[in-house]
Amino acid sequence: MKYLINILLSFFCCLVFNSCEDEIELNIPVSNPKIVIHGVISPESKIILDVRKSISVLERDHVDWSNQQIENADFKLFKNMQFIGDLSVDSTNKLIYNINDTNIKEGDNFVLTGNALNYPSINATVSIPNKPDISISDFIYSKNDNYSYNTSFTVNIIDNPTQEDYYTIALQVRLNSIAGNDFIEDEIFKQNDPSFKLIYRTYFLNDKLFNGNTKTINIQYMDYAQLSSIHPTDTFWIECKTLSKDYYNYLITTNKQSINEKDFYAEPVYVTNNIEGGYGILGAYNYKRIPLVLHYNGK
Amino acid sequence: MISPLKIFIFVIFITICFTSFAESNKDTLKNNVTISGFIEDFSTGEKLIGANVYDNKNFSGVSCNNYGFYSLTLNSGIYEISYSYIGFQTQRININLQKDTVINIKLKASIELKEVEIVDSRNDLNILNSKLGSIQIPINSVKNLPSLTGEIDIMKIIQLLPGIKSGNEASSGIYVRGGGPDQNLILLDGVPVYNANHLFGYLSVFNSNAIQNIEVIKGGFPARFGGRLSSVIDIQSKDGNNKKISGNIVFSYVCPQITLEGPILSDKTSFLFSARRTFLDFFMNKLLTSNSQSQGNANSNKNYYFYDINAKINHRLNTKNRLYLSIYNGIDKYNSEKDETDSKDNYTFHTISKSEMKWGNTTTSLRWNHLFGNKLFMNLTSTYTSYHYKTLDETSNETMQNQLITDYKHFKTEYNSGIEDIGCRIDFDYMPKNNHQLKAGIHLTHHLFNPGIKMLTGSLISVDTTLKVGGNEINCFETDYFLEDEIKITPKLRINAGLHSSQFFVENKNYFSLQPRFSLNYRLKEDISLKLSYSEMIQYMHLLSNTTFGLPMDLWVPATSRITPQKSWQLAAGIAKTVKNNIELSLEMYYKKMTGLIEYKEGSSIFDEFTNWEDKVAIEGKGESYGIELLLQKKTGKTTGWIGYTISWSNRQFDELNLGKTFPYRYDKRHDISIVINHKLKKSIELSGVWTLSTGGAMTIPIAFIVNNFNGNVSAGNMVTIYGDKNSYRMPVYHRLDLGVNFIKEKKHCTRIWNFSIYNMYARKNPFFVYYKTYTNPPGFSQLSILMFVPSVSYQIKF
Repeated sequence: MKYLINILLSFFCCLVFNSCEDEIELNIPVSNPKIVIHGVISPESKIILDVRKSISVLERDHVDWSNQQIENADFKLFKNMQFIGDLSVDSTNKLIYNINDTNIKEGDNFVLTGNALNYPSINATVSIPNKPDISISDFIYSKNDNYSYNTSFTVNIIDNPTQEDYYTIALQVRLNSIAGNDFIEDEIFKQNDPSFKLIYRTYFLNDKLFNGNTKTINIQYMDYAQLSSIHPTDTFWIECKTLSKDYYNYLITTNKQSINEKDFYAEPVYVTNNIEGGYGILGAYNYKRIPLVLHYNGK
Repeated sequence: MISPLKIFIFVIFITICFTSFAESNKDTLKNNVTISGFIEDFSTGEKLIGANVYDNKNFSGVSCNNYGFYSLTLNSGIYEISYSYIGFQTQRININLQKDTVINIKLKASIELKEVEIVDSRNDLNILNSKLGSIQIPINSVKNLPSLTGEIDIMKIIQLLPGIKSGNEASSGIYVRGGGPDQNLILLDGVPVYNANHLFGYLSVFNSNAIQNIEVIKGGFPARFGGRLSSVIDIQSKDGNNKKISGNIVFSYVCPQITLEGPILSDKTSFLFSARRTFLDFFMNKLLTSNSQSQGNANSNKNYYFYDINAKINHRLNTKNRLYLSIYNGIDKYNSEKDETDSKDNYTFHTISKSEMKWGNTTTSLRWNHLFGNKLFMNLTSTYTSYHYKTLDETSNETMQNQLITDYKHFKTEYNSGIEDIGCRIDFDYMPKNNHQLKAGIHLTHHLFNPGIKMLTGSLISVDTTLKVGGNEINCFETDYFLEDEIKITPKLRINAGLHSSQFFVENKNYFSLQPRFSLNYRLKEDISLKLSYSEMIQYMHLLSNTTFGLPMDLWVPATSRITPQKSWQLAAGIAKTVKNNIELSLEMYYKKMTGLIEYKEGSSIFDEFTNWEDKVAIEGKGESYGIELLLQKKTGKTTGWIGYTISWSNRQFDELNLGKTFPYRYDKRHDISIVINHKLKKSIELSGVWTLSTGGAMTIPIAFIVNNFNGNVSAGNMVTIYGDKNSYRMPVYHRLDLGVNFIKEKKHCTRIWNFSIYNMYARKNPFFVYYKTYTNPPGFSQLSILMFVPSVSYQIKF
């Protein structure tokens, strides 16, 4: 009897577990490719757009990187309601479109329109933000030990009360010490304000909590002198940027998405998109850079 | 801040009460007398909740409260009083009433009406009930329905009612009128149960053999209930047979069980004991262990089991005093252990890893019923409820050389979360006149929330370190007060009006609310009534969950100084009609608004245990749901059952989600149909079937990828996923047919029942979840389906 019951129970367990899982393919309609724009407009460089097509969900992992360009695309740029020209495709890189405008200043409003055969038309709008109003004060140099030195200073951001502002702060160095190198690198530094969001080596902050007031940030930089990380000829500066809102949100959301990519249970992150009819971002920024003299080798 | 509308409603309520009382007092000038008492089941002594007492001369009547007590006031004279309860023989007594009289009634079960399925809460006829959206389910009648595990699950029966939707395949989670799974107040003997799932949601914690009565309220909430926005599921356990020892034993391959009840002191003290335990561990252990060994692991052991126990003792001190002690305890536990030894050169590496996941509820209530005179009934209850979830991961690595330990590492991670309530409540039922049934009460509850604390312990030969991360325990105090009156204004017009007030103290913040409740029943004709209800609700706690599987790690968190309580108001209207005395038709429409909702922020994960929960949620969400529900029930005869249909919409809006745009709720299912049929073929054979169909659940899917080339590095690693609008994609339609048959045989000392059920008879591949599959050629979407054609068998002996 016991044997019979065991057989019966095992039989039903097997039946249940064998009948309890199956995987089937779903035919979900795939959206057609769209134009993807990545471009940032600022007073310091010419206007460059990276233009390519979006990748279908059925293409991922098998993307043909050599075939990303959109043939015969036509992009027009307007500044302050005035047509300033067609963007021309780069002769060496068909993904790059550019146009020269040497007189970009804060408040300028840009409208980009684009067309290409078999793709929906796109348009995007962006304005150049105000130049950030920052100053630096309270430099303190101190020696930690024989190997490292601290430099601390305060950055004061004087916020404009009439608008939403989106800031980034980075400490940058040009490594003149390396012969022939004109490389600019973001340095690692610490600051004391938890409302900043750190992405790679740049701090992000918006003015929701201090609109119209002065925001002071205490920054600490540690120089491991004996390790020769800094050379007297290297030049440092603090770079503060004001970003257009969509550009700021794009950088935040793409970063968030990449962090959570591997967590199956994480909620999807929507990436900000300001390209109407397509995907990507047309961003803008303004900037201010203040040179710094960082303590070197105890001198 | 209390709105002028609420003050106006309050004034109207008080005016109606006083006016009505004044009318009543005119009658009291005459010689009024009261008959009162308890109505019980003749064979078991169980109270009959909602049994009716009716004066056949004047057509006035009352129904019993939750403890089987009634009080009927009449002018002195000669009367024929009827006592009735669905499934029981009506008893009529002729009485010459000259003074207050106590009559306790014991009703005998009716053989003819045994198959009755669903009855309304207050009366056999739905049309007399002033409450909208309230259904009472007699548990004995739904036990014949087919089931997944060989045992009927009451939460799955509730999912078949219109307006109530299920979550995932086979899950016990319920979603009422567009509300979330946390918005259901599930009460077991008046004590909230915070996690109603065993076996990852496949089975609910409620043992149908220990339950006497279930009432489901979806709208038109009476003032005595509070604390949740969307529904009240009020489950009363059996008191225990006070006539003789009886019980049943159920053998099923998932969850065998035993129930025993009987008198301790005849007609004074009775007990009920019911226990279930799964045998899955005996099979899974062998199955999973042999599987792991085949993969080369030296010793491994995996185990899962659950058990639950219901126990109740009730003692009648005298005719006016009664004590109840009710206890529930249930645990689910999964653990695995692996012991590996490896040798290389002169070294021996020994690794032991253990992991454990354990969760469960405990509820206790100690209740004292006291009768003041023959019109005032008091119920004093102390309650305790807790839900705890714990995981433990432990690894130790030992390296030995020539029998000497050269290296030892030990790491332990322990995660605890849960909620614990201690409460006390006093409720009064006062029946001054037949046209008034007043209820009032005060509830005091202390909540202790533990929103996820993780302990990390590490040891490297001699150094021990411990790190504690996660949220801190939160203490809260909640008080609730209510006043409710069931008023019969005219023979055709009844209203149930009341006020529920509550206060919640948390983190130096004090939330206060006044929630008016109102429902009306106007009897248009003998067999048709119109109903209307309005209710406001507030909920001081939230459930954090971003899975749909009913996982035990879903986290209860309180409203805090930063996260406001959830609030709702609901307006409903309906019509009820009785056809040919045994078919009831009801049509209800509702509109519900919710505020203060929370959801996980984009990118947040339930498994991110290092971030404080308050930083993971989007707050101040708004919700809106509306729909029409149709219910057609046949209650008596050889064939019984119901057809339910719901068409509904449910949306959410959060500033921080979906770029601020409104999106469909995850369980927004446009159409939902359930057909439930029981047929008594002959005395020894009962057939049953359930067919259900619903629109697929809403979900978010990726629609494209773009390359983010801002850093100049173009590769797959820089791909950005573009998602379609939140919950804009619909899973395939869900439908399935379950069939069951019972073979019943009366034996000399017992009744034996063989139950054979098939879940998902035609093996429909319903979506359990849909996911995006990468690293395949080509990538695409797949649907995981489970539980196609699942047979089950159970054998039951009743004695």
